[in-house]
Amino acid sequence: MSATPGDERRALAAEEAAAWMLRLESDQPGAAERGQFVDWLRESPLHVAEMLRIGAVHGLLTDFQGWKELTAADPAPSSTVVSLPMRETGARGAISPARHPQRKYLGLLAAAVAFMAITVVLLLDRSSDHIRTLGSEHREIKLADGSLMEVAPDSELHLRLGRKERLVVLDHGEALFHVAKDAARPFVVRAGQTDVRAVGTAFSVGRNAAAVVVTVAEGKVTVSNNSVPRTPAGASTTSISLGADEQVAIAVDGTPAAVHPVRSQTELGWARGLLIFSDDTVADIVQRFNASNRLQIRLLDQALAARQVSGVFDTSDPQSFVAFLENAADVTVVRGGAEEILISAPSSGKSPKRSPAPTRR
Amino acid sequence: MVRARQDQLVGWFRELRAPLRRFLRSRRGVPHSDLDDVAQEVFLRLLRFDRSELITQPKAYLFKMAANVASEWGMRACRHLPHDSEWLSELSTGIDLDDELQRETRDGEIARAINELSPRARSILQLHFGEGLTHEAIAGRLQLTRRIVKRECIRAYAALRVSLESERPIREARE
Repeated sequence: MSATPGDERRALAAEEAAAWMLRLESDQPGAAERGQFVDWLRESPLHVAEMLRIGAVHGLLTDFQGWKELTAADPAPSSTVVSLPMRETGARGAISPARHPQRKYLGLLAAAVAFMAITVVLLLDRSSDHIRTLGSEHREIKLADGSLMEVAPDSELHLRLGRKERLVVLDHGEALFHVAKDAARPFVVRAGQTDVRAVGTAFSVGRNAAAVVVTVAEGKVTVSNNSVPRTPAGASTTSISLGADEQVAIAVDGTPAAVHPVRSQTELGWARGLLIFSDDTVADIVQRFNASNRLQIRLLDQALAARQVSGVFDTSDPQSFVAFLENAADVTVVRGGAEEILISAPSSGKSPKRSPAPTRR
Repeated sequence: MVRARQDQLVGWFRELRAPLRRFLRSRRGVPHSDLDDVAQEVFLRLLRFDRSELITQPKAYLFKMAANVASEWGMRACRHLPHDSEWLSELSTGIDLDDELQRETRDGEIARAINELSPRARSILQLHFGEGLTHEAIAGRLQLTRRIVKRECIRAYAALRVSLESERPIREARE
């Protein structure tokens, strides 16, 4: 693949940014030079982007502690060093940059990634105010007002961001909201007859057939329910104020359960695709996996099902949990058809029976 | 989150098998023009800002604006923005389970990337960041001109900028 003009532009910008970094870091540049730097930044977003990246490299080098250990040989592989997928061509050319200035930058556009694990933020397509996630899909969406929404699997909601109000209607499922401040437009999540008004920043609303559950991570929300019969005076009655690390469940008929404290990090761990389990039974964990995936896990051993496990798992990947069980316990794993995994303990004497083809949900 | 609990979680994380960890890491990561999007927004803000004010501390303004944008967009900015501890404390970073692991593997990645540079570039970086020598002092120590030292640094930065960005699969809607 030959370098495109775009590649070359970016490569040049990277070098210029590095040059600027050195100038601004070591020397004491005068006003004229600082002015030139500002003018260079304001020439193109590409310059800004490369400056940020070079700045990140500088930060990494500054923080790096392993200078003494650096030798000519590669560092010995340790169990905590995770080998990354091999990079494509181009980056290897860095060893002799003078000879192949272009080739080393081939990797740039092909990779085009951030240094560390980050989550994707999709710009909301203005024409789609109806959002629907499938069984094992987890989506993060940035709203036009700057708020961020993380939508759990099997969820459906509608957006109505108006001039006076920002309204999200949750049909079913769950979503976590990081609300951008806008005093002129309250942020309201409507789940059935329950309204959750955000005064603060991060909270989730989940809705199923039985109840609406509101969990607050940061800030405050006000929960009110419209099915509560109004007083003769016509004013609506109870509204509940929820603070950080608090949760309340509102039944379909409008009766709220008591507000109770939760560890919101644990409750909302799904939002990053990870669920945190703390002394939960294998049966409970499997139930969570089965709720979000087509691939179903079936436990055939009672003792195993009752075992308590703690850990962090990516719930969109049941195989990872099966692998964990294989590693942690003495189990027999049998594939029971395209969408089923059967797990039993080898000493149980039961041979895994294949169940009839599961009905699709 | 209480520190003890975080340590506990980190411990559990470590117990997972390496392939599993690798898998989890790749699932969480996403490549994308996140930084480019942030840069686009920062660029616009720079244009609107008063130039003479920017000139007083251009680098500080640049990174501060980037941190603000990332924070407004709810990004875990500390993971991939220039490190400037002053600004970092103002970002809402949220809790990260594998902070420890990330730091260890990050150091490993950096070591690997540095080892790919020319021996001369490696020495220069080592003397500058490891021992705190100025470029001038490094030039004297290595018997090079200051100009060459700077040139090597620029090339090293540009090379590291490429080699430190790892490829990760795009995290699309999973079926």
